[in-house]
Amino acid sequence: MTADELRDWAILGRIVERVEEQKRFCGETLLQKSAYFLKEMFGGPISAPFRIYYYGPFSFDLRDTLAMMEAHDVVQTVPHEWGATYRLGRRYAQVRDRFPRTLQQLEPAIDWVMRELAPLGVKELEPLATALFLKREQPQANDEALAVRLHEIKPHVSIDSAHAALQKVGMWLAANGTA
Amino acid sequence: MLPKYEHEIRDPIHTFIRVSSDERRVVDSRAFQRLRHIHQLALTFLVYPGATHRRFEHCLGVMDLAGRIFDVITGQPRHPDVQQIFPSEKELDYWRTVVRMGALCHDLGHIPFSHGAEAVLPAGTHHEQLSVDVILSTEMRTIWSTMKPPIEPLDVAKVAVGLKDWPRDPKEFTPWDELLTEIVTGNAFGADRADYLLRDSLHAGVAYGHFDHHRLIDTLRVLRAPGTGKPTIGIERGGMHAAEGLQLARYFMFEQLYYHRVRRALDLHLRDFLRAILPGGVYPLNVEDHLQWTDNDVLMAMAAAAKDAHHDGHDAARRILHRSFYRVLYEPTQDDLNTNINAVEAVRRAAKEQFGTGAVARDREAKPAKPMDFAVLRDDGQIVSSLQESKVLDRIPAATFDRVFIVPELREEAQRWLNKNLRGILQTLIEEEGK
Repeated sequence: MTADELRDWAILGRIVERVEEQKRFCGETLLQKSAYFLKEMFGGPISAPFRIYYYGPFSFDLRDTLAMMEAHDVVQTVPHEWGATYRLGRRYAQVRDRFPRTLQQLEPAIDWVMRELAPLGVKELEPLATALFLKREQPQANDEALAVRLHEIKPHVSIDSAHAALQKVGMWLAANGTA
Repeated sequence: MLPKYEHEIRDPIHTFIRVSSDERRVVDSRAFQRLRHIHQLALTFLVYPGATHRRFEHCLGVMDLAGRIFDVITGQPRHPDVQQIFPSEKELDYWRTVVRMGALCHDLGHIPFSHGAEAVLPAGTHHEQLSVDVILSTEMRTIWSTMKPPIEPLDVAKVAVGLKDWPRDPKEFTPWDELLTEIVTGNAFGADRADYLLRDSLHAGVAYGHFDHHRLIDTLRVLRAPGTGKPTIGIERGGMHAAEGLQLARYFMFEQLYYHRVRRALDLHLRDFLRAILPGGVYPLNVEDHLQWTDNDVLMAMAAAAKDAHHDGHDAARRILHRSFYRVLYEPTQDDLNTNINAVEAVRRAAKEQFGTGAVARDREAKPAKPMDFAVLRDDGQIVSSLQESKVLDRIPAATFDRVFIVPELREEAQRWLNKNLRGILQTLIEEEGK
């Protein structure tokens, strides 16, 4: 593995570790959206590129990364009522111990992920992550236009829900100084 | 004599594949006929001699299965929760044609030796981009526009490629498009996957790819996914064992056939050879240039290069044709990985330093082990996750490998060297930040 790949493993593993501590469900969607917010809102060193997919921003590279992590027993998956939940594997500590500075620097951002994203389900994460994607893609557009666009590409998200998601993401961006 | 609007093609998997006259025009097109000369499994025939089948018959098979899946999931009875997603019966005729055409055309962008050579495409591109470009080309548009009724080429392209590999704006996909593309490219029940497992298994002479596809298709239904409420293709409870059979077949086929060490070694030499003969070392993304390249052209060039010691691709060609391909030097044990999670990279770097860059190569891949999660309609009418219903799906391991190869002439020497030095190499931590 390259240094960038191993660093991705360390960051994703740390998210899994924190979610596990909270005894919450840690599905792939939460990991995908957490990584997306870490990258886009906090400038976290996640190497995977993201694009819009069924449930908002998604990275197939990140999915491959998770597969590799699982193959190396850095994480494991356990079946859950709906979907599978990730938990730490036996070799996570090896990866964590190689990137102490990165993890220390990212810890406040991961605290934010635990506070704001970890308690949410797929249905709530999708409009929020899509709202961030649209705000990044069309920085000049106002929330009215973006809400219409969000509803267009995700018809199961109502205009009102789209508005609420855009408003919340706007507040997060302002609070983090990344608007 | 009455005009014949339907034609039959014999097929070793599906017995007869019926083709309409419009579909036959696509089959007869230059782009589709080219698939007669693209091996389905690249150079696997050098390992499993029977695996000489081509993308041509696979695409016909995918079309046949996709049509059957479409008929089952759009037929009655439909689940009441998803009624509103279906268009009118008249429109369904159009979409059935689109689905079969998309399935037929889904591999038009494959370059010579398909997946085995895909690394020579420009960085960040995949064959799906070429598939879309061919479907939208002037030559193919002539066929789409003169069909009765005319077919919108973009609809065909979406079904052929799917959202995952869509090279344009993903927001072009409507929820209906997303559902249709699952028929061809879906992970759990896609016609592409079903056909390649059955076909590759038959031709390679291994039994691992078999599963009860008739039963599986008959039990498919459009259901709302319990987690998200989104319409998706799921199954009735009675099809669960067939669905499990498909996932097991896939795991075994990857372990036995697709990840076979010799096939993977041949892929590495094939890429080296293609880089040596392609202008600039990169495969062209232009449709006209793409249509000129087939496996036959590459094999001809390879035979010539193997005889010419001064040819840039001589070494790679010779290694493939004279069976002087890479041999496995190292695959990590669980103990090795417990010592150093980056053990394979540590061995690769040490071997490269010892024997030179050209003598050593690393190859790795992992298919997700995450259990296949899809909607299941139980007999009591409840829709639940497949993971609640199956005792098998969450126990299928990841198909994975990570290897260091060495050229055969150095194999014995390298093995002795590795046996002597492995413990020390594993203590090397390559990537580490200061504390």
